[in-house]
Amino acid sequence: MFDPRRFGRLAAVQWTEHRREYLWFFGIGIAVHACSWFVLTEAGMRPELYDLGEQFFVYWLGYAVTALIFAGRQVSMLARPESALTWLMRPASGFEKFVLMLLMVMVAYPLLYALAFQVCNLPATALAVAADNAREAAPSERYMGPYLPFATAVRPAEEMGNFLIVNTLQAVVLAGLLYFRGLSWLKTLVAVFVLVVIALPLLVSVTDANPRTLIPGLVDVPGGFAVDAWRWTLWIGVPGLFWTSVYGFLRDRELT
Amino acid sequence: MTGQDHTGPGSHFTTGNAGVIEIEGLRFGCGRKALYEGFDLRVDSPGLYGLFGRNGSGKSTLLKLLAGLLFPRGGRIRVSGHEPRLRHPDFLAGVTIVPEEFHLPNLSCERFVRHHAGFYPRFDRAVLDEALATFEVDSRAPFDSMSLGSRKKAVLAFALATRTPLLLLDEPTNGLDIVERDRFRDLIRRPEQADRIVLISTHQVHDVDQAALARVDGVVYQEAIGAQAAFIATRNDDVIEPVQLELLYRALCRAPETVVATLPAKEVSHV
Repeated sequence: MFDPRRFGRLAAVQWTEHRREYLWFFGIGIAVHACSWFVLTEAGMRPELYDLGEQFFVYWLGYAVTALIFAGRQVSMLARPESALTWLMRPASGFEKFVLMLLMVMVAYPLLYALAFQVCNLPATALAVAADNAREAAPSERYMGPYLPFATAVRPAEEMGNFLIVNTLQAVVLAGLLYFRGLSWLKTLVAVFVLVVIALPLLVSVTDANPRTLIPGLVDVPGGFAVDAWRWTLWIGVPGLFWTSVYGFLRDRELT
Repeated sequence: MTGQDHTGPGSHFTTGNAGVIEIEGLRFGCGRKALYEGFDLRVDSPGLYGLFGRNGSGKSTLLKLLAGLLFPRGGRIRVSGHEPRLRHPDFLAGVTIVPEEFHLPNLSCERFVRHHAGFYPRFDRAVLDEALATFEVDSRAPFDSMSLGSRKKAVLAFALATRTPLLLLDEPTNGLDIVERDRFRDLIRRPEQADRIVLISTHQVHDVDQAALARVDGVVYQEAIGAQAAFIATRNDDVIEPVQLELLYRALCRAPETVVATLPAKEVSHV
């Protein structure tokens, strides 16, 4: 079912065929990031306000948006019969193709995004530090250094929570795009909306109107069996369920 | 016949021992339109087979079902002992399909081959080089810079070089000029292709007659005959000549029952 040699070959083909697309994706992402920062500063945002908190916000907002698009693009070839045929007929097991997709979305993308973010963030923080030092008033005590996810200990629990939320949404997007035929993005968005509408009241009632307690380590509240059970369900069970359905839909995919 | 059912078992062509294509009671349809209803077929010897039928009669669909790209709604398909719908890696490494419309990444043929050849255990570089030379395809040029015909020739050359036990070709000569069709005919009849089943789908006997399949080992003819279907095959030594093929095809389109009644039982079986 899983042959490392064949998997390596599959990964090499994936990289060879899509590397331009990946480079374009990151290039556009970096350009959008740089332009946004430039526009915001031109519009009156003082550079020295770009402290760690701001970087944290920008990083995770950018990650949430681009990671979902990137995940969706992993199955975009299946939307066209010609490219779907090539992909489906490639001699590798469905599991190997799924694992490759999982690694791309869960491991490679976060690492590359973190790297690409620094391309914009390092010059921006340098400008922010210079602006902060140039002020007549004494330099602020805020941390102005660059934000490194999971390394600059800001809010590690929140970082992990954000990562898991985005990861779950990626699985939902992939499952939706693989399940729905025609207008799959729109149908997936509607499905996500419906899921949120159903899940929110449930989470609010379970957590006594404080869903943040479900993020381990974020809120200092006594756990208890019920909260712990919900945490496990939410962070392991739900993503696991969606990723399993991604595998199922991928394996049973027919040519449209 | 467009949109009619292909029904009835009894399509059996064999001169060898190893079972390669086995279809039993196949049911498949597009939406409410039934294409296959209890269709049977067995091809268990290497050779070059033509699959004829009118537009929409399900020729391409049958190829996709055999490749595991579509799943039957009923019945059973086995190819070299594998169930195609499971798309087992060993099965995929044993089947090459060239669809009528295909996608190629923006790579050179050389680079494409370097990365894909390893998937096919019997891949033959010499066959590829010969086919590319015959087709006059520059293996260093990126696919995006090639014409549609050149890309098709590159894909055909790769398909021939994989030497998989089963090769499925859907309208392979579409987009090729007369000279290239002749070259394709020569290549597909080379000895190194003789140990595989090559199933060619086409809706024009003219193509087959003129260039691609001047001599065929067998003919799979799928056409509705009332509530039944006919499968016509010849043994390898009973080669159908092009003119006979065209006449047979035309006659079958017009009066299938009469033709089937006049053909020898060993060549036609229907229930």
